[in-house]
Amino acid sequence: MELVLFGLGLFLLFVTWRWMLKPSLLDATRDKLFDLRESMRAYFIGTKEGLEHPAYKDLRMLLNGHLRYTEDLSFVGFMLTVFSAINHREDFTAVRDKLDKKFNSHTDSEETRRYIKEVRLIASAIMFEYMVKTSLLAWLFAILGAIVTFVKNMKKLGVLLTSGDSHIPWGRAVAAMLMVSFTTVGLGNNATARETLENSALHAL
Amino acid sequence: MRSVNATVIIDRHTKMNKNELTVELSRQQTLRTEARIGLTKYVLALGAGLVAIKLILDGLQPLVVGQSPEAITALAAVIREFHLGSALGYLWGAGATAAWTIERKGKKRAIQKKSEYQGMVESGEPNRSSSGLTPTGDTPAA
Repeated sequence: MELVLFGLGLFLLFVTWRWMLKPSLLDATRDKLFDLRESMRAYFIGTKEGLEHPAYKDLRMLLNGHLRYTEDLSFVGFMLTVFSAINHREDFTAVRDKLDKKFNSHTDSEETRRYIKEVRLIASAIMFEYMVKTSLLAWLFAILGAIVTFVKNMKKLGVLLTSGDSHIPWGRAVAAMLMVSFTTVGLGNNATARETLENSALHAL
Repeated sequence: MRSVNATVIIDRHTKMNKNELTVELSRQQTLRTEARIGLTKYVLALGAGLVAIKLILDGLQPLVVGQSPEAITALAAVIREFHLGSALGYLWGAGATAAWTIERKGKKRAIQKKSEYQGMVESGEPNRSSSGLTPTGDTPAA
């Protein structure tokens, strides 16, 4: 009889993950991307060119691509693309530089360039977060990486814990640890990861 | 795979330089590998689902074969295993699922309304492009 209950439990767990938790995570991710698109629109309304700004057009297209691609994003696909990028580093770097140049060519204002870069980084981070949250493999990988990072940085952590600061933002610390662990092995929110996510997003529309 | 107009694909490819073509080729290979892995995962999940259902049915079988001593023993086993705590757990799960379903319907309705109003506000704006999602914010069927 225990087997029956075990089977029922497994079945319910699968149903909860596939048809409840995952769609909710997907919607939450898209909410973040929509909010980013809204704030980006508000930013460009405040500029001299307004919504006629070519950077607005391209950034909106990019965010739309992310929105459309979110559900198809998978950790396995991401890993395969990153490994491919490592094998064809020159080609991927050239394509990334071309995209960066395109975004930078839209404005002479350093502030707007910084803003464009920030929006692209935030969008990639949102996608990255969704990818990790929805993949068991990514979680295993992140936890293993976090342990390695923890051991490597134990000295620094010891200083932090004995510094007398009673307010340590643990939530952010854990998220940062996961990101650091990914970056340690070349899969973090670095240029390759961003390029991988943006390339997929731009092909999604 | 997205249903993209073939002309657009050809047009996109003819405008590519060597680097872009290599990246595109690699992207297509990745998509193919990802699809194969996806299929394997799907088959494994389906297999696991079938095993779970078989476990449940095998366990329930003695209960439905009649009033034999085996059926009574099996029923007693169910009652013995199905503690009050477990029953409350299942009830809690059912309640949480019902609440989630109601909230989700409300959220989808809110998204649809927001989408309508946003369309009104942004209509006629230069450089406006859409994500191509459905009015309820879902990925459209391929």
